Amino acid sequence: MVFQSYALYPHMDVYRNMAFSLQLRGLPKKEIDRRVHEVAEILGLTPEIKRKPRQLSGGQRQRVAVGAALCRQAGVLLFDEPLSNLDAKLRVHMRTELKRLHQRVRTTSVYVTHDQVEAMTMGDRIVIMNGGKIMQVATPLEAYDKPANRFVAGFIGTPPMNFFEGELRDGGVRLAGDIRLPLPRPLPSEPGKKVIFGIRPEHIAVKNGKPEAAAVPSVIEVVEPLGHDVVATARCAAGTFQLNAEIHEKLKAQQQIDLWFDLSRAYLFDKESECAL
Amino acid sequence: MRPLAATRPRAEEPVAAKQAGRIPLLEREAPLGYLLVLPAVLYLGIFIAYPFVMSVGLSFLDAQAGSARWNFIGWDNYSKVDAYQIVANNFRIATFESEQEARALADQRKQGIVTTEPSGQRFKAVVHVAGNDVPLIEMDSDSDASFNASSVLQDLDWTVRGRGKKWEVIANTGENPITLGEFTDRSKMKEELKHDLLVEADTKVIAKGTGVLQDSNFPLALKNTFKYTFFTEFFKMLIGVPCALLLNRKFGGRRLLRGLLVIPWVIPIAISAQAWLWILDSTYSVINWTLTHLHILSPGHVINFRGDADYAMGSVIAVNIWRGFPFTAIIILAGLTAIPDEILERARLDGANAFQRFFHIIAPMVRPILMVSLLFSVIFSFTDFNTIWIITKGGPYDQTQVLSTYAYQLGINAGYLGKGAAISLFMFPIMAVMVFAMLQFLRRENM
Repeated sequence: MVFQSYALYPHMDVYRNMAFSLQLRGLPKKEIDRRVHEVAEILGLTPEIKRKPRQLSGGQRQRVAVGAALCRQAGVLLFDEPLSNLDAKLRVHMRTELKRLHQRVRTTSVYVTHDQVEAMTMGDRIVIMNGGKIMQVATPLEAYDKPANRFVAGFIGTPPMNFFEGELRDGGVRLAGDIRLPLPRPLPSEPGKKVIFGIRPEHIAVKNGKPEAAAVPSVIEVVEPLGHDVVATARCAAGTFQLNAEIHEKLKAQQQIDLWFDLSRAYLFDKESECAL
Repeated sequence: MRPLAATRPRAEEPVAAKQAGRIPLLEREAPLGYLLVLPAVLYLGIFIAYPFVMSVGLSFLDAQAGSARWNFIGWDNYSKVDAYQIVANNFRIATFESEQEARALADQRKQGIVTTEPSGQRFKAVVHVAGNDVPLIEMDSDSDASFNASSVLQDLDWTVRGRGKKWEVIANTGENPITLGEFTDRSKMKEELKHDLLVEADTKVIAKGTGVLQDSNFPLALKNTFKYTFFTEFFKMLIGVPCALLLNRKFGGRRLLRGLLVIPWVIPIAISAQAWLWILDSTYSVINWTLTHLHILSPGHVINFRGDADYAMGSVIAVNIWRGFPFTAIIILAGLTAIPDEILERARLDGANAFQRFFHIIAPMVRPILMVSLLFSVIFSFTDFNTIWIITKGGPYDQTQVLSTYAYQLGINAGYLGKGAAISLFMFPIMAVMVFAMLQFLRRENM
């Protein structure tokens, strides 16, 4: 197991930290030596092998913790938010390292994190949990494309999915402020049913590009430039929402504009239960 | 923007006012600092620095209570050798190849006689026993030689010792060796010795004088001090560590127990010693009462804790342990709580049982703090005066005399202030060496 705070024995050097569990088990010294040096080599820790944890950087300590877990040659590796104590830049680097490591040793690993980027980039499969209950078990792409419920839909994806309350009507859904959006597929349920309508910021456009898109009159409130892209917060009759745009589209605050919702990528949820699309 | 201007930092006000020369004393940092430190400095100065300096001064004077003039005598209080004495013991009278012959000699020694004969300018004394003629001693005077040889013959214990083909008859005086002579000049001693003693013996040179190092009680006091310190420290650790481990666990009444634990340490020793005086009393001791009622001891053979040489040291050590182990336990407990739970959890996951966790993880992590507590404890025990003075006053017959009590006895009770000061200052270099060694050890730990 790799702890969030590494849990390295402060009075032991790197070698002993990795060898400790093996020594307790009474493995022969040669075997312990072999394993520790092999793992140290994989993790790039060989020059530090005689140092104590207090002499190591955060990333190095992290690697020692991983090394200790690897040495045990267990069937399953458990990672408890191992990257959350690192600074952002190191975190990105270590994420790649861990993924590379996993590709090399191929040990089954269970990785706990609250960072969805880590979950999405590293997981072969993710289990999304809320309040101790499992919300969905799926591959990252499935969780993104086919969220099983509102929680998963709002959890995966940055900026998060926009939600509006509404009810099913003939051929579509009616949101607050009498905004009617036609749905390109048959209604999942009988009209009048209360639903939550969800659409991702990346599926709202400034220009009409798709046949399934519908225009929603809105007012831009805040524009956050991110370099090439822009996250804009807008308000329509049904509520506030966010959308992704590009810098050259030159959105401005208080601009009145029709925004196009791509309804082929919209989601419907029963009031807090399942995705009904 | 008005509100921002109104909230100027308060620090500016005293500065502005200082420029106008109007700040009250208590708001200026530097003078206030000195003022606050003053009481502690006064206390340290009057009760610690001044007596210490005065002691150092006294140790170089022939200060005596009641004498009008104190003179400077340099190092004499510490060490002043008037003469060197050679003492001898375990004289090898004769060596034989068979045990029989050796025993024959030993058994018949009371029938032996001593004769003297001239040897150059001196006189040689010869002992004749069981057909053996053994030249024993050579001295300047006839009567001296004869007298000493007779003493060896008649007054000493003759024992036989040996193995195989080598059997020795040895004359032994027990605790009081025979003085062979006194010299003021050390260099002449070795030569004289060769001339005086004609048989092999264990010889020793004793420096005689008025300084502390020549005092015959001093080695005993020193030995007792080390014994006292060593045994109390050992048992304080032995009891303190498990106490700390137990108190580290969560259980009901834990806070209460922790509070109770500290009581022996916190009660002034003068008061707790009074209770101990009753517990260790020869007539009314509760320990004796319990033991006799359990029929472990018979009423006639109760333990005399304070008066019996065999038990006195143990008794004061016990009281010191009782008094000191809470200190050790609390400090170690502090060290234990500093160990992150995660580390122990990981140790459990790594497969360490309770004993292994203690030995490999807890003990090494607690060790630096243990060393610090040991350091303070050792200093405390080494210089401890109250405990011993109240319980045994150094007795019986100096069996529990330690450096601090001896210094008091010599300096205050007997009035030899200079000597008393010298003895207490003897503790200083010894402590300095111990503290230095311990700090070095600690420093290397932290590297």
